[in-house]
Amino acid sequence: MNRRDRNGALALVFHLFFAAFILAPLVVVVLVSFTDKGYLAMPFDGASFRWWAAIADNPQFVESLWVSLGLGLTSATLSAAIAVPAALAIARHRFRGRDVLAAMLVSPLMIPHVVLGVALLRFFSGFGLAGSFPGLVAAHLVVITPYMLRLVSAGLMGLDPRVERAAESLGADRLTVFRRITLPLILPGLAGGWILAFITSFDELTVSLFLASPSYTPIPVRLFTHIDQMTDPLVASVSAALIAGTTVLLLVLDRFYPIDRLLTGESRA
Amino acid sequence: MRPGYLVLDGVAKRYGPITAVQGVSIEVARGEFLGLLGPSGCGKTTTLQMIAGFETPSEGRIVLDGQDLADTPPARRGIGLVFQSYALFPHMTAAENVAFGLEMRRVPRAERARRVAEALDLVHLSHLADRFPRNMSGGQQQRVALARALVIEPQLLLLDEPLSNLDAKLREEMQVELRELQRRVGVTTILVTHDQQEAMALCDRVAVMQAGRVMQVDEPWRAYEVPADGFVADFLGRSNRLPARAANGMAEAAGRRFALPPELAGARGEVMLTIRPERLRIEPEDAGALPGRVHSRVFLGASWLYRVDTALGPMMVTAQNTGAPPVEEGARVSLAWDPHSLRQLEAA
Amino acid sequence: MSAGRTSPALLAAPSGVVYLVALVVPLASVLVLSLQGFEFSRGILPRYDLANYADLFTDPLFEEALARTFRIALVTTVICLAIGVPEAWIIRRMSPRWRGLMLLLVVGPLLVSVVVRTFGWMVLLGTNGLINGALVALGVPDAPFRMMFTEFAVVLGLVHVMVPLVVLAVWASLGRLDPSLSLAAESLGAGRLTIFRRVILPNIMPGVLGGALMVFCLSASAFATPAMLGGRRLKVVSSMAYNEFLNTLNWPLGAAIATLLLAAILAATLLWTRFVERRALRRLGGA
Repeated sequence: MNRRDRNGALALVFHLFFAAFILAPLVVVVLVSFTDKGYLAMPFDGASFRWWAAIADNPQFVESLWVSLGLGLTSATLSAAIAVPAALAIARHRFRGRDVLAAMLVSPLMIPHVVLGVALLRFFSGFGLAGSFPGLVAAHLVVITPYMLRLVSAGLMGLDPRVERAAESLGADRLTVFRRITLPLILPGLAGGWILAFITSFDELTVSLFLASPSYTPIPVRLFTHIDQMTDPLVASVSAALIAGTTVLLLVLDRFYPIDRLLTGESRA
Repeated sequence: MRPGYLVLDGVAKRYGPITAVQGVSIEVARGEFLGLLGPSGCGKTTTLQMIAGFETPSEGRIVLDGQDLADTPPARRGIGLVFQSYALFPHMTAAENVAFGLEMRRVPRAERARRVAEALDLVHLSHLADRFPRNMSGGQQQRVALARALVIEPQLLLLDEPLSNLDAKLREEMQVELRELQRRVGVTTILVTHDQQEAMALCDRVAVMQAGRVMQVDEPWRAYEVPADGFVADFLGRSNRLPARAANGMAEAAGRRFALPPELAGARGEVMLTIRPERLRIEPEDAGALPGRVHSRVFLGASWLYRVDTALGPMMVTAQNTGAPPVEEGARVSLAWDPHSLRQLEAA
Repeated sequence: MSAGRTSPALLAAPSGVVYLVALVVPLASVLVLSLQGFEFSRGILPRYDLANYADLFTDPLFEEALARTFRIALVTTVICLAIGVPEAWIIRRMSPRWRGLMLLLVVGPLLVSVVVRTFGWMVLLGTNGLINGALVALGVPDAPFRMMFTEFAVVLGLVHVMVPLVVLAVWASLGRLDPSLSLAAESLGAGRLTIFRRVILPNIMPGVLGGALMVFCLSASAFATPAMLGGRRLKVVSSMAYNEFLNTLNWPLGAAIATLLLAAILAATLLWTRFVERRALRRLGGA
């Protein structure tokens, strides 16, 4: 590698501080989760799995975890089902209202989640949907579909339309072209979009806060309201469990889908 | 007139106010190899897309084997397509790529396997049947694309710049191979290209296009020798211009008089004459018709290309490399030619 | 396109319907709600005027929260750019083996819930938290400091949440850059810093500016981090809207706050793209 392409000592020190800043709160949460005290403390003068065991004794948290998993699976899958046709329409067709559609589909990225939450609570409460699972799914669909759309569109962009034309000229009808050619080729983008959408849904707090009910409380909402009342090491152990889950997912994911491509939708790093 | 197997009759394509193709009428005989030749943006690819059915003509008819194609979707036209990018299915092996069209035609498995093997054999790729496109060279991908298009026994084979992604040497090899293959299979073929060498090497006839129009349809050598206009003359190869004044079978330019060929004996007044560089000869200073000075020279291996500055402007001259030392740059020379090599261009 | 293609209307219909029901109509209903009145005894009143907006603009508490919101967003954005842009460049220049790992480390936390990340800062910044503990142990005078429930804490938390986004945006721009650019600059005698400032930075400007806008908008509309690190007293616009809806139950007033927040964010975006990004892109030959 070129000499000037290497980082100087100052740059590496900067990077060290930066990385420490990014990791500090996460590392601290994990450490605190192993304390044996009844309050937030480091485990250096007494460590235990007491607070990890306590997760199982709090059915509310376990229940919320299931709610979040179900919500993530359902909304990510539905999001794929609406984003793929939309991406196809935008990438492969020229029609009136195409720009409006494209702008509308990514607009939730620009809209404050508090505003979305307020709007959905107002609207859904008129139909008894506030606090229901379908209501939460609909809200999450709007939040996560922009990410899904971005990755699916990137996949379509990387697909030469002439490949589809070649299949058509060989006698394939439109459905066959989609099933045999388009879908397999955008599958990496679709899978990446699904995972990103799932994680975004799983982590979503603000909109859910407005729409959650005692029977359907996603895990971030449960944590937030719990912290609002008290900060005990149970919050730390639940948080640490979430960090651990995300880390494993991330390491597995990075093997076949580099994180920068996942998060930016760029076709190459 | 040749019998029209494929007939384009007054075909035009407009995108809003932009006219991409206008008034294109071509007849292609069964088994013929026709080149659509022109610079980029001349409408040749749009014409090809209309034949394939991916674009709908704004005007005119396209008739294949007596049947108007207007209402036939691309999937049912039975036309083999080879793209510049090859457009191979990246998630399928070579054999699976070739088999795809047969699958769509519900050809039974055993027959399918046999025909795929035959098609791969035809393009000398039997040994790479199970390889994925990304693990093949450009030339190999090119052959898979050909096999995939030919295996469905198309009524018509359309080639869109099929060789332009290959390096020069491979391109020449593939030209020979493609020509032989087309002869052997006998499929009517249309080749779109911007490379006049390629069109002239491969095609029975070429249609030279410019700005959406067909300027000339002719056998390559005829189009080269008797170009319809200055554009065709320049596009098919280098040519020199001699603006002159004609009278009584003679022409006068820059104070020199020279003979016109018999077919131009009737020319009168201002004329634009043209001559190919290989028809000019470099002679000693006093021997030729047009004196000049060698400005520069380029060695091309088989020949030398000279630029000679004359009173009529710079002239390009190609001279066979005979092994003798070339004429020095700066040397005073004169140019000579056979009157039969002169052509007259229509006034633009 | 040939006749008989799948109609784009059919393809766009599912997403269009979902967005209509779960975005467009709800947003419109908030706008209408913000014009209505409210009384504790009677609930939402069937009258339509701008009274809520008039109330807000004469309410010093709201003005304070509005000013705080944009002050925090601005400071957060500046800090994120100041540390995020160099960090992306530094990671880019690492050897390929370290590069992937370090990028994962730096942007991976994006995938962890904001609640979890912000909780980490609560542990660190509390009066009995780790940082104060360390400062006391080191004998720093006046320690422990009050850090929780200050704007400092909110900015720190927001920078932590947002800076990976800047790194990512810049990283993507760097990936599009021709690697021989810096070699060319070096061959002409430029040093490391000059190469970055004169050659790299102008070319990654679209990523930098896009990242800046994103961070500003997200910080201005952030709810969880200001609520957790700012506490009940240090209100921002988002937490005020939340409060009106879920505590005070004055929905029309909450709707007016939400509408103003949305309008402010859209205005900021519009101004930014019109005056800053367009000028920067023009220098790069437009895109």
